[in-house]
Amino acid sequence: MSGAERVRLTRRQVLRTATAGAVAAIVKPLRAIAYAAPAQTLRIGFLSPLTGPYAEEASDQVRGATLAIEEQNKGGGVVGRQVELLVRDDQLRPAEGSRRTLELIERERVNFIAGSLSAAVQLAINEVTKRDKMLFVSVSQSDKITMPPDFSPWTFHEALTPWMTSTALARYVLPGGRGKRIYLLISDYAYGHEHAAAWRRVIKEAGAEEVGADLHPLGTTDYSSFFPKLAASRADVLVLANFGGDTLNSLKQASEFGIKRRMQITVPIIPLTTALGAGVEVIADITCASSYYWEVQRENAAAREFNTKFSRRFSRVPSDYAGYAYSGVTEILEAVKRVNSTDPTAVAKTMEGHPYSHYKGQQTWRACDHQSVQSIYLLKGRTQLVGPYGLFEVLSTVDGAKVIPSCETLGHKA
Amino acid sequence: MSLDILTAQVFTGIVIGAIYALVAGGLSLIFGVLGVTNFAHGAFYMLGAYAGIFLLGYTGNFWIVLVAAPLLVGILALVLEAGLIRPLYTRGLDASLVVTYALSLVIVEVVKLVWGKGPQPFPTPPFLGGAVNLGFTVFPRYRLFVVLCTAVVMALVWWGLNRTTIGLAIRAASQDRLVTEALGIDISRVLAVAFGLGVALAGIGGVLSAPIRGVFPDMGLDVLIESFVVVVIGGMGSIAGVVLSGLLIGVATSLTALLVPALSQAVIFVVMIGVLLVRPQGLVPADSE
Repeated sequence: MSGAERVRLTRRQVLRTATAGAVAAIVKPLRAIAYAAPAQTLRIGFLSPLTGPYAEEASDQVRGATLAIEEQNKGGGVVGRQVELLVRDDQLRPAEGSRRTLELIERERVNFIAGSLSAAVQLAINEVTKRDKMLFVSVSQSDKITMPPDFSPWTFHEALTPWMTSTALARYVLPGGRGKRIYLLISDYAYGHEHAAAWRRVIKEAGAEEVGADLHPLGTTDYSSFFPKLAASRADVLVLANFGGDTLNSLKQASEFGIKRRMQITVPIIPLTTALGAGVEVIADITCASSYYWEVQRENAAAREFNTKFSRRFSRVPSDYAGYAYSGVTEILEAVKRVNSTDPTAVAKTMEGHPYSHYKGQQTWRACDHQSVQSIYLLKGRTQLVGPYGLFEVLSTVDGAKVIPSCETLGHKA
Repeated sequence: MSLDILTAQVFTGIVIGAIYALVAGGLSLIFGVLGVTNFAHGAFYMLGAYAGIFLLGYTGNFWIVLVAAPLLVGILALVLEAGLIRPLYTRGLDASLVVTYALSLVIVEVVKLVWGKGPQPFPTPPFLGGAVNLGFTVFPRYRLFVVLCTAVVMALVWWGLNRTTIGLAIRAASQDRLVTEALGIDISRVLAVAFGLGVALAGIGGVLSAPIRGVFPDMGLDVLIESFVVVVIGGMGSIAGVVLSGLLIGVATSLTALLVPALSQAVIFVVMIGVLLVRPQGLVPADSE
């Protein structure tokens, strides 16, 4: 071995030791900061499909959650701590949702999880939170999440369920609908199936007749090939059990094919964000159900206050999904204040059976399934836009307690 | 099942196929002449629709929009060709794949910044609204107009490629660039024109389908995948092949929607696999034209 090589080895060793020392010197305090941070701020992880077909609705969810956090921080924080919102994009994909959730829990050390905008993604998130005993407030529609085996003692469902939404809407559309002919066009995933199931129960209950049903793939852009059969069915009512961009395209194309003139079209939910993109002539005369519509403020002081706060901050009226997110996140923080602890089990316990009102009047967490019992608004598209956001008129308000399935029906012990 | 429904279903499929063919035509042209797999094609399609919204707001005239929007997108393509696409001609397919894909991401994000993430309404022109009774079915007037437009545009493209001097130059360039250049033809100008034309076709597709499918930043995504399938089935680089395969896929989608609705989107891939098994070169290979 030559002398030169020996020198190089020694130099390398020196360098290695020096580098290690330097890295340790820098990293140690950094790590101290990183670990100290979660102890000081209260962190809420928020999952939302910021990219993909529901991006617009997702952005409004984030606005709602942001408003909730900003309000709490302005009021001095929660149990002496500032609150931080960590938003993550689940891309509307269940696998991405569960990966992001795990990351939020393990790496970001969040205290609570909220969010989701899909019946399928929320179940994936729920699987992770349930296993880790993490408190999760879901703000989008699903029946399954309130039922065993998916039900979790730490999961709360702020959004309406498909069962409640479609039951309320179907009973309005089919009052004593004996002899009425119904055709269902169903988006082929959890959301569509759950809404269709609720419609079918009411069709039976009302003595109406299902004359046809077609499943369409999620994200179908052209619906024309579904229409010849549909038109020939001579149905009285067409139910579009789909969401977002799918609703927009199927509605638009159905009216082009003259189907809107021949049968009444009804859609479980048309979020305000979707309706604005569709335009008034597409939405005109369509009936739908909603958890929130800004015009209910006429006779609802809580809604008036929420609209004012939201539009002052974001210069627009809140959509239904902004409302869910605002209410869900606010409710977590209010529950933390009540028990003066961030322990998920303690927070969950205090939420069970608890009444609350954050944006549209009183809601209650039903103890058996953690479903938020709340009012449902039935809407109809106006033929003329009133102001920049006045797309719907409110037909009626349904008490959620009247359309919610019993605990036993869902498989819970009473 | 009555004969009327079956006829209506096939007819609906042909109309869907026309839209497929229109958008895929540009993609096929660009691949055939430039040897570039244009992954930004869907983004240009989307840009055509947004240019349409922009121009409709200014002029309020659908006819002006129908001509000017694809023209705008085509001009943008000429600029991009000079800066981004030209260096790709001497490189492999992987380089054009990466560059055009990146370009599509940039275009989509810029559109989101300008117009927002949400859908934008694009009304059907009033004089083309409503439906016509064809006897066996009631069909929207606007869709019939789209088929007519597609037929006219595709005929013009075919005529331009086969009956004009520039078309001759484009066809020559697609076969042998070196010889074409040796014959005194400005090859870079020819390639630029071919790219601009291909992109403008995507732009027309975007404007025409806007009133049917709605306008939103990610609208090009599905179309890109569908177009690639159409081009592969038709034979890469062949205009006649694209028309044929567009119609085939349209009818297949439509009939599947009648029989097994849940598979109506997956069927295009089944058709692709089937065709490639029997004819790996596609229905109408480019060099047979």
